[in-house]
Amino acid sequence: MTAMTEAATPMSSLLKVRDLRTELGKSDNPLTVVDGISFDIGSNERLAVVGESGSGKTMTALSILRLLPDAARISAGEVNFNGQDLLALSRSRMRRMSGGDIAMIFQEPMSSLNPVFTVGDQIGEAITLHQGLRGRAARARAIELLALVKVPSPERRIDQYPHELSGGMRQRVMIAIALSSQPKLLIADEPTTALDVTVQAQILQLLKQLQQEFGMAILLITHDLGVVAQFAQRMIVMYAGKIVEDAPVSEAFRRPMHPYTEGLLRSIPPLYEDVDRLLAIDGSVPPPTAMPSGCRFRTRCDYARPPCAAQIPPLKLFGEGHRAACIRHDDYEVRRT
Amino acid sequence: MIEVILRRLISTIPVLIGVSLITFGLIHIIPGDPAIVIAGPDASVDQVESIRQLLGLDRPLHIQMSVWYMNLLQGDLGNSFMLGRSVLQAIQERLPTTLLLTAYSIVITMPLGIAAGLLAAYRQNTWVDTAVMSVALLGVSVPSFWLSIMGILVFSVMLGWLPSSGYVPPSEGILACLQSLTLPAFSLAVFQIGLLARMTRATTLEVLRQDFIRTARAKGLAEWKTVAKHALSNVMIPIITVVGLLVNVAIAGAVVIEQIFVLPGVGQLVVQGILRRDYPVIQGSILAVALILVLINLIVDLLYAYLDPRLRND
Repeated sequence: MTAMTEAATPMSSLLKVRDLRTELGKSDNPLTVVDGISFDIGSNERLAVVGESGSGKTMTALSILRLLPDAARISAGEVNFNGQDLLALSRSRMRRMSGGDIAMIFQEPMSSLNPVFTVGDQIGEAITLHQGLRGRAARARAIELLALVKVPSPERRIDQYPHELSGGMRQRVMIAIALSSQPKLLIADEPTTALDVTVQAQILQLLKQLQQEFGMAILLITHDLGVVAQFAQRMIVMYAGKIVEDAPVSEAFRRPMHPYTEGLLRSIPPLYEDVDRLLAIDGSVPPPTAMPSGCRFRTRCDYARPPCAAQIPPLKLFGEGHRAACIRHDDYEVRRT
Repeated sequence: MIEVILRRLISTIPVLIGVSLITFGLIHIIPGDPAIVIAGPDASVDQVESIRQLLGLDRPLHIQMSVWYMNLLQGDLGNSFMLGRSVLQAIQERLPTTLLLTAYSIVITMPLGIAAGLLAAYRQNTWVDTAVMSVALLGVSVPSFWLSIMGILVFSVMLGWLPSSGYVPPSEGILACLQSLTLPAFSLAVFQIGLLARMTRATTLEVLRQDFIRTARAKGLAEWKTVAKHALSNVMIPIITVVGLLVNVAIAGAVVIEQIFVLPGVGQLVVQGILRRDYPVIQGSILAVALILVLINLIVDLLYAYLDPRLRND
């Protein structure tokens, strides 16, 4: 078993994040919300980032695109996309990148579209920006994109306003905007959380199909392991700003190497068994102001022992592309079996 | 659309009736008798009484009121007791001045107030924000009559750039007309700019936090375009209501400003009417102002629907 600080590198990495650190608040007393994380995404990969609210997964995504809110900033690290360090790009070159090679869709399709412009206008804007098409050509392309994301009667929908569409339709419009530039990487921040379950499945199906069709990578942020199982090839589990486990989905589901991942898996209600009580993880993610010493999960962990408080456990390799940050893994595996 | 406008216009009738009833009540509650004013200090009781009869003021109030309404239905607002002409004529002479003054001040207010508010919001918590908001606070705090006098002192007396008083109608030259209205319009506008800047700042901060602003940035849209197109289009929806209110405030403010700059507007007409107990003039001009305010509110509501597609269906 070798300790490892480098990320597990897939065959061809499209995006390499190294020691990314994102802080909130005043620079003399910052709150670290993303704390030195490293990971890669392969050029044709569907990667899920999983974690509770406050784990830093959305901040990670916003850091990649440099779309952080005013109060937050990236204080260290490197985000390498296709050989370019995104954090070093000028603002104007970064603008060409975002919405171009990297596109993003968001959690709330209800509020992510501007209510006073038509759907066509908002898709057309992206087309004009990154493809240089205008007027009738841009409109024709927008209709094509709407058809691609399976919006029925796109010729009619294109002239409608967001409030005239359902939540699922709006998310499809967001996807159409994202696809307008044929991105290499699509970041989807909880794209289905606000939608009902049947629509959720349709949107995930659509994303998966488009990913295969266009050969792009998708970074999916979610707190829903059901979504992960349905969608992703690999998953990264984040806890309190750090990556605690990174593994192929089937592997992580079968043999989680971090107690937090195990806890998350246990809290999924079983489909064919009657249970009196769901197994939830006690407590909640500690706020950045009151982070425990050593392993950040130890305050909620059944396996915690005094050594856990001594130092932050490094990510260790446990098998092909499977890393986890727990010093108790030996004990842990014994107990499980 | 036309149906909406018609319905709204019809619904203004009760408002106007209400306004005229209140005005009628108020002018008869305040002490003073136009007949005594007209007859002069040396007149006998008989002379005053005959003037009262001549003006119809001896009749019971409800009869006076009904006569006034009957005449109104025929488009007749009666004759002024003092001005030697019909009230309608007096209003027609005076209204353009007031409307021009108000419009001028709003034309100054809108770009400056909105730009200042946008800038302050976009540079929130920086020295720019502090500076803009301090000036705006000063603007809403300084009384317009004091500002007018200081304006006259600086721009008319010391610099000699602008006339200190008087009005040049547009028929005698647009430029001279604008020049005669510049000091009064700015005196009115300073308060409005301050208020609009503060409201725009608050609204913009709210809009900039919206998800669709992040979407626009994620698209790779230039920052100025994100603000100018996506933020401003949403900021304007509540702001247009504020502008509608500011027009009302401006017309009210014009009453004072017209006195200071000796402008022959409706404000001056009302003040003179009240001082001389010229009942028909008071009644008529207040009705005219009320009608204008009602129309402005109608325009604001229509603009609202134009700016916000979510309101267009009804």
